Amino acid sequence: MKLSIDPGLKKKCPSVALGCVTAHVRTADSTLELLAELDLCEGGILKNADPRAILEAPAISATRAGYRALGKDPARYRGSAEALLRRIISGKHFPSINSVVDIINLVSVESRLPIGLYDLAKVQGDIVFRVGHSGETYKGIGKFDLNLEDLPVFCDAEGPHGSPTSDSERTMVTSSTENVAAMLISFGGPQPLEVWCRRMTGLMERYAEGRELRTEIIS
Amino acid sequence: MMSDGIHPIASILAAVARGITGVQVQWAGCEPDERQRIYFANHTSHLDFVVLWSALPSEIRAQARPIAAKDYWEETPVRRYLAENVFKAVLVERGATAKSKSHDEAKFVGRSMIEDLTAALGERNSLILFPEGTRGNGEKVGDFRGGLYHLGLRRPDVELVPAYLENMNRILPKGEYLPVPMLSLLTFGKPIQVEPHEHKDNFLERAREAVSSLRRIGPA
Repeated sequence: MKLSIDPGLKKKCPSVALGCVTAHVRTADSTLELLAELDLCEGGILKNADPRAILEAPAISATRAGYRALGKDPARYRGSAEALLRRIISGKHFPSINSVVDIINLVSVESRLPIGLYDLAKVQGDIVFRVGHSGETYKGIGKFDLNLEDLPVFCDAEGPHGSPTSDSERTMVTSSTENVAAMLISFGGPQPLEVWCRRMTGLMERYAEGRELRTEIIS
Repeated sequence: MMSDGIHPIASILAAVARGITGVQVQWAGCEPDERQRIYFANHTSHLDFVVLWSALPSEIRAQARPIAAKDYWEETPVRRYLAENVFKAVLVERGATAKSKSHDEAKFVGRSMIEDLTAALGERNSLILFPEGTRGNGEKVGDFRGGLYHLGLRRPDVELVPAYLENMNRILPKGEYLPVPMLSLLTFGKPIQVEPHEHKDNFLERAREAVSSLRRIGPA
């Protein structure tokens, strides 16, 4: 699987960059240790004197600016990191899905970066990160059809399958998934990606039996 | 979020601390930078955090929060005011995990402390931390406690900058209340980070060595 950023997207969002982590994993219920990590992360946010100030983090602001540059309203179409942070700030907990999804959600909240997660067995051919076209849509995970026009989207040979707002059901990770690709999306340049990819590989090894881990930064 | 700016009393105390200790600052392994950092140093005197804090350029100092011992800084109203309002310190209970009555309680206490420190870092702040947890005698840097490891693991975007304070144990030794004016040296080293698979003990020893290696003069 080859990953690239379409020049059309790059022209509108010159700082956009991707960190791609691929791994062979075991998808299972999260262990108590991983759930404790999620709790600790929530605690660190909620103990902040002004938790909502986190929503002004540079990575969140950069994502919003990226959406605006594409003509998409970031208040209506939120990046997934912002949506998760808002959920936690409002007193709800991390959703607990499975070990791999929980890891991605944890790193997304810690880094403030949206992260896409794909089952590589369901991805057809190479992946391009581009601007969504008029009429394009897919069924988001746990959501209705998502209007992809002007959203940044990941597309394989079959079409769009993921975005920084919500991924599609078509390539989602399930209990039978063995090989995954996690895409960390930075609209503020590649600088933060390396450390957060490292954090993710460490968590995958520790909590999802991650093997054959590979990291690639694309900008 | 911590409010911007430095309390006027803090500026005065910083100037006094710099005067008493005559501290010379060497940025040996990195340059002053407004990015988020955790400065971690050896600990031999109650003056340590004031001196380290005062040695930072003012724009960095405004966002740097010392981690200090709750029992000492909450002992009197004046100290409490200085810690909370002037230095905007994060007060933690020393040896809280060791005092716990069970393993579960120790885990809870440890987790709660990491949550507090993560919250204190927030989006813009830096921290000043003394990982030995208590003052040493200045002869050698003692073993580090685990907080630095847990913070470094969960905030890999924050630089961990080692620092070594020399002579502070002579200027205001343990048990003394009046400082003796004397020259001191503060050296900042090269930032380190927690490797993805690094064991806690290994990292803490590496961090301790990063601080020890900045020592310029022989044992006291």
